[in-house]
Amino acid sequence: MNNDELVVSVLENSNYDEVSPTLTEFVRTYIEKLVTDISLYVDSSIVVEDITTVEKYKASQELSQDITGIPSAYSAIDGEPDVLTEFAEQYSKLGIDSFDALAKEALLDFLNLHNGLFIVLLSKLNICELSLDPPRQNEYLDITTEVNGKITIIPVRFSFGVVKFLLYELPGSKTS
Amino acid sequence: MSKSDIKLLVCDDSILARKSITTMLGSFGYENVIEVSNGEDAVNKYKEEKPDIVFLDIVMPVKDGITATKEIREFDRDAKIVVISSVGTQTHLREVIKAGAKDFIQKPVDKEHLKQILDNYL
Repeated sequence: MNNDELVVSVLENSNYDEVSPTLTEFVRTYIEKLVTDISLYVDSSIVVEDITTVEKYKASQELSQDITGIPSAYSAIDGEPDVLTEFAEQYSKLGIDSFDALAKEALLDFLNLHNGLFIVLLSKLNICELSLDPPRQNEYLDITTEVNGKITIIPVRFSFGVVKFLLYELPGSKTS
Repeated sequence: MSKSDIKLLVCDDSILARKSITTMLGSFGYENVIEVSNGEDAVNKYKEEKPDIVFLDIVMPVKDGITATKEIREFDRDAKIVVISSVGTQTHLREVIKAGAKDFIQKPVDKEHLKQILDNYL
């Protein structure tokens, strides 16, 4: 199975088809590219659990990056520290074994790589030209969406646990 | 000039990216590598060290790679700058070339592409 077939299979075995009519083209493309990039650069044995949308999200740390332009969006990565640590190690192969500064660097490096490849894809498809702000980390994450705003949560299950990816397409900046 | 005489400057806010690029450069025999983590430090270090090639990321805190490219080129019109970034959109590629960079490498860095770039500009 090549990577494209793998991505199709992973998404077919999730609720992606069911929820995709409620998502914008931007969010759908983000999810498809995310699955592609995880399978290419982290682990191809993954399951996408139920994709949901929420209006608020809180976490004990913030590992995030803003996608800027029209549309603009907020992206983040979250999960249990031991799971994020293993994700960081699978991605970086640097011998990371604790949720320390290097683990957070690796997580943000993956987020930056994926977001970069995502906006390159949008550019190649002549959908839009976007940019990125530098990734950031803080001790707490507390997002409350604006009116009509929704945060899409994409939980990805690995053999070592679930990593959640968040995407909040900012209201008023939507293309579709 | 032998490889040991060649000085390279790698500028990326990601420790992982710097480590990855530096390791690749080392495998080609280039050990004299200076690392910095933002565009402002890259400009300052360039003025101090006059490296033979600069590898610059675009998205960085303090000063981005495109601004740093322009400032380094204002200081030295012959500066050899190669931008290495994940954000290789059409707009960014135009900005990179307009700023005066010699070339662009899309992340994740392909080792053979990096070697080809070094062969071209050294």
